[in-house]
Amino acid sequence: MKRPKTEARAEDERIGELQEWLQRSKQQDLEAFHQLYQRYSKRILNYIYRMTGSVADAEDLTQETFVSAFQNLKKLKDDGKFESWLFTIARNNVYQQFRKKQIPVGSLDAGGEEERSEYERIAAPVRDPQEEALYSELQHVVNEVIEELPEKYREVFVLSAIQHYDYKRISEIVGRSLASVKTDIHRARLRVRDRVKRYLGQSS
Amino acid sequence: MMNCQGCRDDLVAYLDEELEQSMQAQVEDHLERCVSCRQEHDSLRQSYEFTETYLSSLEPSPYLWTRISAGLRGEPMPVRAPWSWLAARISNSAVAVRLAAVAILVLGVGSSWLFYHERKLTGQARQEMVQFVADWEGLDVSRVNPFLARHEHPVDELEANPFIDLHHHDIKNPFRHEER
Ligand SMILES: [Zn+2]
Repeated sequence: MKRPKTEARAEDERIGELQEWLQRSKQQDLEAFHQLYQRYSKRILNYIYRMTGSVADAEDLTQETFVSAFQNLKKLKDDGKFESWLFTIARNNVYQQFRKKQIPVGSLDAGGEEERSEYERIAAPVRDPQEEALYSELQHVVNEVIEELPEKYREVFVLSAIQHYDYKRISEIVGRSLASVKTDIHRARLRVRDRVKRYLGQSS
Repeated sequence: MMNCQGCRDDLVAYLDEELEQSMQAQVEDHLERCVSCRQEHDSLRQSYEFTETYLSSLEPSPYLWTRISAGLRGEPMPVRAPWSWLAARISNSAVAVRLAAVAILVLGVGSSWLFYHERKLTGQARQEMVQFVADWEGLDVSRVNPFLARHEHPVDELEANPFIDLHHHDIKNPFRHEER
């Protein structure tokens, strides 16, 4: 589908800006790097959070990811791949953490729920109490469904359904073929659908 | 012409807009004609909407960048700023007022302590900290900032040394890694 002209121009500006920040960051300009941080930190934080299930780990590993990105930025040859590259660093940190803690890959941190509710209470918009109760119950369902996905599916599901990356980008990040990414997203989506099936209809 | 199996295999890719135009047309064509595949499509699409609607996400906390930039400048900085977990608990009513009071002490009476432990705590970092405490507690910044206003809660009991009290208190540090 062809994008409208204004949208394309906005995209070009976005890329131009990004390149400037990258160039300056490569010269160790922390102000420019802050711009990159502001653009990507939420994505990275939530990706790691979904993978580890722990807010504390998500923050620590997000910190490590950006520190190591800044220190290794000169190694990035293709600026257009910055985002995937950043995710690759985050992903390495996640898997390193799994190994360090000797957690079987994919089994989630039991403390996640409590920590998370702290955050969600703050972020949640105001609703009437009944609506609020239903809403948070369904949020809980979605959280659980994602947590229960096997790691291999969860990762691509998070990147696709939460981060809204296209398959090509996801295959870059996880280092697998497009075909295998497509298959796993397909399976993940079917699993999620089967798990939320009984709630469908009351949601819309 | 596409059969049901072929259609089912591509439904997710179709919803993700990952199919080439010719394949997309074939799926649409099949969906027009096949009730059962259309039902499958609709239920999948609904599950997309459902997860999209009820998905929650974290906001990076304001001090995260402070931690990162301090690390990058090579400044000594605790993994977590001492006030970070304190602020994180502030929404929790009972301990909230108490902790808010302590937060103010951290900013006011305890600022020399902070200065000692975080020598490089800049004006901006301090401002972020005040903002952060204000956000968590839902207060106006001016009511948190010890240089502008005082909190109405009595804090005498903590005035001696707020930190001893904190460390021996039963308040759980939500950010500490614990054996599970
Ligand atoms: Zn069919």
